[in-house]
Amino acid sequence: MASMEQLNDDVTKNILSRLKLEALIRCKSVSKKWKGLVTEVVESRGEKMHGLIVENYSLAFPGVFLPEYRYESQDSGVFNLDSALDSIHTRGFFCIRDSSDGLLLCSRTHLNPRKDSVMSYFVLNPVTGTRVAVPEAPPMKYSDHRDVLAFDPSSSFFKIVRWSRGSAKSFSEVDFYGSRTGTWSRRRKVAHSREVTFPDSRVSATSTVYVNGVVFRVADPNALVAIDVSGVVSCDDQIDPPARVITVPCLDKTTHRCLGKWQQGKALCYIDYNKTRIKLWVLEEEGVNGGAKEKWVLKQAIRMESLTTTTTTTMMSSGSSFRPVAMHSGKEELVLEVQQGIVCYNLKKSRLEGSYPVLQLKRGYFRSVTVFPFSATFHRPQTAVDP
Amino acid sequence: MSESTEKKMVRLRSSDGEVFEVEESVAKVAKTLQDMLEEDCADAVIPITCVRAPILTKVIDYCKDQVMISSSSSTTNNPNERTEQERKAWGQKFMEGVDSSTLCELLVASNFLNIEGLLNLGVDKMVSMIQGKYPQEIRDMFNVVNDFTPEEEEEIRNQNAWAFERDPYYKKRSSSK
Repeated sequence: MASMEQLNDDVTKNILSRLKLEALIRCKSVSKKWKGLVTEVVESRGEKMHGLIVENYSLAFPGVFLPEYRYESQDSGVFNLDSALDSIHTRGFFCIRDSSDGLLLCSRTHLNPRKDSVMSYFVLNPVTGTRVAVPEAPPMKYSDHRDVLAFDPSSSFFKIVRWSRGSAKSFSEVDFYGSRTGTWSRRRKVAHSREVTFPDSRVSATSTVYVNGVVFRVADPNALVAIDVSGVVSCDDQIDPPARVITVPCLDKTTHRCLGKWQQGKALCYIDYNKTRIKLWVLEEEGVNGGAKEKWVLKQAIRMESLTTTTTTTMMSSGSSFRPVAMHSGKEELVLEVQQGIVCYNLKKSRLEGSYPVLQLKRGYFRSVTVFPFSATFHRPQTAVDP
Repeated sequence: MSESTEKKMVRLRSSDGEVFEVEESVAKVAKTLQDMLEEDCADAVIPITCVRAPILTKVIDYCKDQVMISSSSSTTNNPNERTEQERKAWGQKFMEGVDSSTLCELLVASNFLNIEGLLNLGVDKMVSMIQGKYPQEIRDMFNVVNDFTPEEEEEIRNQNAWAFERDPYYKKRSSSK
């Protein structure tokens, strides 16, 4: 009898690459050779996989805007993200807070007219539909906190950093959650190495980013605040992590800022932009011995003019501008908002690639974009329960 | 037989020794044979060492059909030209009743002979056969040897539990603990 082992690897990989994700992952356990081939296919698919979740705020009741999410992709439907999102949409007021390497930090608020509404967090892998509930977080006074998800694909654990703007310039307040211990830490006061405030950023998702064990947040004036969370694991840990204030390249009043990842997510990317240009900087550090010295390296400067000439005319009218809204952590790609949609700018090739005409909103406004690297390998920790 | 004087014939020998005589145009659907014929190194019988006679018959059927479509598509308004839908239906019918063992051999043959269309048909069929199956079923169907230790296999399953949740074999194991 003939066997599939007679097929050469290219043919087998061709077959595997056309399988739905669930079937593909199952093929890992067929044989050792198949396991290797599946890994290759998953990796090559990750390169190709491209999609984004667009958040729009639409008018639900008079005066009340609620977020709505839509998954947009130019890849053929290997993943059914819509169904993952649909299943959670219907229950409570749902919101995507942050994303980190393919995982989403979400919250659901149960509106209670008699008492305060209760908000719960959970982490979702929309590719696999896997959900992990997070225990109730300690109450926080300030409603303007940023929730940051910290996840390294090499581990199966994640951390959540709830970072309050606080009332003082010299410190801010932070709660930590680690999925390894499954508990929230006591509240920490992190002292800023110099006085700063946190701006109220409209595109809140890009005002913070998690890179290599460190959470960065945009601050005023001309700064970033960085907290090293790699050592924060348990609630017994008595040491408050220090918050380092890093000065960013010069700015004027007309310039906006956001954060992203560079080099496959290994380095921090800082973007500043105004009506005429976008600049991308990468943070390089020298001499880590206690006193790290930061150096900003300008990687790219994009003139808005050059973008205007290459964009399809249906996407914009004359004089409209491009606004960076996200950065793909797996590849060097910048996602820009235009008047009539979203375009992707390939930083390696210095040209626009792919566009999503998604902003035709009757009542409401566009808020933010979550970009998707592929991450099906995140597995379910022991404590996983459906929230 | 009067046509055989006009059309050049090519002879192919399967791995089990059977000789097939086909028109050159039919053989040329296979890129590998086309290259050989164009280099003029194939006057005698061409040995197809890795393909058995029943498989070669099926391959030749496919090639003949391709020749029929392409020869008629040069004329306008040809009745043999297929729409996308018809092509799909034809492909499905062609692969109907092909078992997993024959399918493997067909894939080996179309890959060796470099017939892209047939390879794609085979791959599609294979994908539809694997899609809803679990590892043990796939191994049985395609004769793949499980070279994992039970512990190694368990580890892969645990790491990707979400993909195995509905596996009857998996359920049995975890509930017996």
